[in-house]
Amino acid sequence: MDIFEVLAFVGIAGYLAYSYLRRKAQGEKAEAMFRSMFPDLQPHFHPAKLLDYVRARQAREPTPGFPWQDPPGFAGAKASFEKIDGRERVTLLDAAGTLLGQFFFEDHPEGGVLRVGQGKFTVNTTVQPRVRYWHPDREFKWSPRKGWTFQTRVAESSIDSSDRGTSWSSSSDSSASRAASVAPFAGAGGAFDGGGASQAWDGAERGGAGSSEGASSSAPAY
Amino acid sequence: MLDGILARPVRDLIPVRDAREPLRALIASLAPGGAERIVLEWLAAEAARGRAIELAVLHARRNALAAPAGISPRVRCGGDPATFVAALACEWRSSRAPVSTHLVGDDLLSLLWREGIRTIPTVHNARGGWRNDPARWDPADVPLVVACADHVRRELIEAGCRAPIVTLRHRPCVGAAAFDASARERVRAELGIASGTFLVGAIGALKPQKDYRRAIEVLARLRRHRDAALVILGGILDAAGLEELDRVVALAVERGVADRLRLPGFVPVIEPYFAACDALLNVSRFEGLSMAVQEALAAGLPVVATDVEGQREISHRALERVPRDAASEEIARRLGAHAVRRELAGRPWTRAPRAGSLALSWRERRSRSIGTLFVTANLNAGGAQRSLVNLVRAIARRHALEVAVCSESTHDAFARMLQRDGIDPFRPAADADPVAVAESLLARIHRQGAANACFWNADPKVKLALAKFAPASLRLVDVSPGHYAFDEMDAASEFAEALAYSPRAYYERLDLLVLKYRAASHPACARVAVIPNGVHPGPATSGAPPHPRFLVSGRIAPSKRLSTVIEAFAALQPGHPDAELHLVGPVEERHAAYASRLREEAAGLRVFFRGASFGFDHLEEAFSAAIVLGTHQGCPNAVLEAMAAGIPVVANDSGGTRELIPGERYGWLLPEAATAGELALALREVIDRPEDSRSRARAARERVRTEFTIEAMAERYLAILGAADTSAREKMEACSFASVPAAQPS
Repeated sequence: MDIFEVLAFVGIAGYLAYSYLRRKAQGEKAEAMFRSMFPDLQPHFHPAKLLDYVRARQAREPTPGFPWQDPPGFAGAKASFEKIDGRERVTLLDAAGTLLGQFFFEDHPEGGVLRVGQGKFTVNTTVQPRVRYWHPDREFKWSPRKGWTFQTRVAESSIDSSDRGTSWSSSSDSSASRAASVAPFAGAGGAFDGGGASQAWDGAERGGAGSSEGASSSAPAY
Repeated sequence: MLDGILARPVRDLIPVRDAREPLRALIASLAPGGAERIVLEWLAAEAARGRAIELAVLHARRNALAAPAGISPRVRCGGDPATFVAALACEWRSSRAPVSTHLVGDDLLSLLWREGIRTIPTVHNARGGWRNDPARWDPADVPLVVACADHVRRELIEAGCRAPIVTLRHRPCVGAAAFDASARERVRAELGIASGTFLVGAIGALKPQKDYRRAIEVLARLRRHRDAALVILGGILDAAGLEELDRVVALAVERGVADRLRLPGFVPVIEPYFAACDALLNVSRFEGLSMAVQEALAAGLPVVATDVEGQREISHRALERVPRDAASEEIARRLGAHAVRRELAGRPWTRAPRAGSLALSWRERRSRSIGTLFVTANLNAGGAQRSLVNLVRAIARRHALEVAVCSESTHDAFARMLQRDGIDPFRPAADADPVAVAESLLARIHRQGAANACFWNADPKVKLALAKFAPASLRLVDVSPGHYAFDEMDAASEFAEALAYSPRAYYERLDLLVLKYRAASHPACARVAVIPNGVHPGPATSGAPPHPRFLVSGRIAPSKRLSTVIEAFAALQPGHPDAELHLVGPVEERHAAYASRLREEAAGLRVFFRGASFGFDHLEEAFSAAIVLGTHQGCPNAVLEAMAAGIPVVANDSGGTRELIPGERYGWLLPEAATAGELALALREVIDRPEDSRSRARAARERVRTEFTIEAMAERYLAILGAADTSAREKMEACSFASVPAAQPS
């Protein structure tokens, strides 16, 4: 191995290490966005955990009155099952009996549906597993391969975030969420930006600057 | 019990001539931001009062603030902005009123100017955030500019803005949810914040000027000492915002505080989040005037903010300013000094959201048709009103004038007198709301090109609002009926602060303060003149009565100290059982309870409540003396009229009374705080020494005839109103509007 081969090896190894670390950092950032934008789902309702749970749930028919200790996705918890109006209600308790969470589970052609509060997870366990979450105020999509797509009040348009970075998304959100996001004024207010939130709009119309996908995708419907 | 003497408002006595027009506003979008909030709060307040409003929005937004009830915004939903604005211009060009514009670029404004439409732009940002070139604004197109803060006003001047600039610091509305413990609990649960966690709020769109990465650094340092979290209420507006979000979250991960960061975005109703937070952090690099900071303060939150220009104009003990370049450790230390809130209590600001309407009062001048617009509160039975009526009737043929009456009157006599003389008083608005009245008056002043506006016993709020927005060419004259007018002005300080104004600025703006007597103290003012009242000589009294008869002429009001008069009269009556006391004057509804008490005090005495008299018939009756007690008297007409009628006067030494009765030769002048005993003693003297009384009355009558005539008063006023040299003011620099730092709410 001559010096050039060594240098090439070191260079490639360095690049791979850099890429790995960068992707790791990007991935952590995407996870942080999920945690900061969906605090009500923390810490138990991460889509990866739900994917594990639904896969396991598909393989096992629970029996009301017989709890499931350490179900996949909810390690350390005990899941108990009840039938409420024909639906399966799952209650998660820790070892001390403290309530960790509760949801309704429904079978779905793609895998399963979990209803948590006002929100609904649709868990697809097929060849390309993915999870969609819908809530009147916010949504996300997640897949192990593509990462996250967030649709929240943080932005007009969806945001993609994964170990490859953060950018505007080309995917659309649901009309229900769009309707819900129009805020009632009611003499009460909304968030401020202290200098005219309109400020950015002409710029956005011109296409903005520096976005990975350009700001035109966030332009309002005229 | 008060039948016949209780004065009630006379409906439709004076015609309403409201010069206001529908409000028209053009805004870039209704994105949830401070500027948008200002516009909507202003228009909401006007809509609630039934005002016609047209709001045009250039860009639709999904996360938009909804328009308030009563307003249907016209949002562009097709075509380009220029076509939209051109269509608006076609519709709006027939209006005489200008259009209020917000965050609209000069290229689009020029489309309005081209159609002859004037615009009043509001500058919501510090210079770094401007989208206009104020130096390009021609005052012919932009007759007035509204700056959101004084430092923005200064920046506009430095930038070469030639149009007049007025500062309006908007104070946001804060609802009850900001102090609601259940809202706090609910929001903290939604955000996953434990009850013992110190939650710091930061508000505003994610953009570099907000410097949220610094907020993350502060959180990281705060976390070293306590359980804390940061919630950023705001979102992304453009590509730069997305990059900022990426950087902020990356830093949160790097500093190990990602789990302590909450990003709910642009929330529709912010008050519950104020309830949930324990402090507000604002580390902006520049601010116009932060609505979020003001709102948080009103919600009772402590605020730690960087000492940038916009923050300096907010004065509040809960606002801690840190140097612009303060270390994160220092900011964290300041935040760390505050506790997790256990009790929620707000301190809402006194607000004047409708002040924006005043800025739209500009009108194109038609021709100079009036010299002076007199502005008075009402034409009730009162000394101030009588002296105004006396004056304008005396000068109307020599000086073009109008009389604006700001609220309802309880008698028609003065209005009828004016109408008979061809002076047609008018109401500037259908109700007495000071903002509506001031806006209508200003529109009239602009349109008529009035040389003077003369306040004559007017609501101090009307005076403040009008003076704040008065054109530089208008001479402002305030005729003070007495010291209580200064007290009333001081009492309106909070309203003044809500207008970014002050009583002091008002007096500085005045061209002339007219006093009715040589007052020992009065507010500092550029020019002060002393003009006492004048009265008609009138018929002489029919002489001495066969038994003691005393007259009190004036409103039945606590300031007239009638309890003291009745007590003195009661002390007198045992020795003079046939003595009579005649109270000639009306009772306003607000003093009905006082009048009822007086009637009870007078029970069993020969006291006659005779109601209002606008003529001089009662002065022709025979009276032993007229009694005039008062507090904060100016130049009491009751004294002058009794003197003119040859009735001996017993008065207390209040205000300008001493200048009317300078010695015993002209009547009895008791100490200002004269007691019932002292008054009774004087009345006995009147009864016991009739010749002395008549002698004093004759001297007094002669004094009035030579020194206190209406003509003398009219000449003096004509000298100041007719000599309206507007050139001096017109030459003043255009930016003549004053404002003062905002003080904290009480």
